[in-house]
Amino acid sequence: MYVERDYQNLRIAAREVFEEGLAWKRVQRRLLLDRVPDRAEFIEQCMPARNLADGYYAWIDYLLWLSTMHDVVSFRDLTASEAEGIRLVRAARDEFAARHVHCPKCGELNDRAAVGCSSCATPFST
Amino acid sequence: MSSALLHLDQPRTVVIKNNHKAFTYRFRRLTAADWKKYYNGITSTTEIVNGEMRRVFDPNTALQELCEETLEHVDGYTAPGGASVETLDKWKMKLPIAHKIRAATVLTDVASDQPGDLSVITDLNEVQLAATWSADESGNMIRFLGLIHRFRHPSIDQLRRFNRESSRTLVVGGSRSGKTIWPGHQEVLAAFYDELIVSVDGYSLGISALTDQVDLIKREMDTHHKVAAARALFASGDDAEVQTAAGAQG
Repeated sequence: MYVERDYQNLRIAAREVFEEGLAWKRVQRRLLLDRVPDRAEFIEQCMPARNLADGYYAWIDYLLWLSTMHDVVSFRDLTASEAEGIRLVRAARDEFAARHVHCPKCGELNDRAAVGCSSCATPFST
Repeated sequence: MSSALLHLDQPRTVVIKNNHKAFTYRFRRLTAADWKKYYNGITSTTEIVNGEMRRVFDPNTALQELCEETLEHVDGYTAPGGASVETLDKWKMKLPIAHKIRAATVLTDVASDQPGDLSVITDLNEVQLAATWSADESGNMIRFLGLIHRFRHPSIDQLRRFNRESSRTLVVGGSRSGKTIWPGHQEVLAAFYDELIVSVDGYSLGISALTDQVDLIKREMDTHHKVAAARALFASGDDAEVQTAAGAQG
């Protein structure tokens, strides 16, 4: 299966990549602030597992780049898989944004259902 | 190391040593078709096995076949009775596989050798390669440095094509537990070389140095050197890297 046409699994991979990005920011912050005995093990424990074969995430990385660049240069000869791919990564980004909010005090991204900021502990008003 | 020119049109001689004995492999000039077959024979896969990522990159079968396809003569081996090994039926198949792989590995020895920051001269990008090419008459392998390739800047469309081809994969055995096959993109790189090359230094054809004769460069430059130079061009920072989701979250 050429991954660029497996839209169903690409949607899953796109969602995972956005969640990974948030998890990685949090891991980086922890590594910066706290002394961690085994950095590699800590990263492995904190990062969400990927559920699909490697190739899907490589294509999602490309689609994210393409989506950003398309806003700048408006490519006129996108293939069907590229056009559909831009659509699905933008939808995944919008879904991710809808599920998360920025802390009003420090700006950190948090789950929408969280009672307080994971970074500065500011309680969120209900 | 050599400050002489690399002769693109000469047959290549590779000398390998094993247990203090030298074996000489003499190859005909490699063609674009030879390199294409080699690239297509390389195995590059990743898969998750018992929760662990397993990466396989295996060029050995392709190297062995590259050697057997392009080899013309060998020295250092003898057949029973002291005759030349070349007198044997299918003599190439009778050579040690490890030797053939080592000899072919030398054929593939070319890489970017940037001395420092990539220089940009009047709207051109300059890439420098180093390569082991052929042995001299004493059997010493000569390494060439300062092999310069100058390119126009890639366009955004070319960058997009490069990123697209670099990211294309095939998954076999299921989307979750399947194996990802990473096809090489050497042909795309060779095509970009032809689209962007402006001039070279360090190479010769016949008795003449190759400089800015673009059509001649496209026709005569060794394909593996084209691929190495184009790969260095696209890895040089002149391009925008494929973003990760962390950077794209905004």
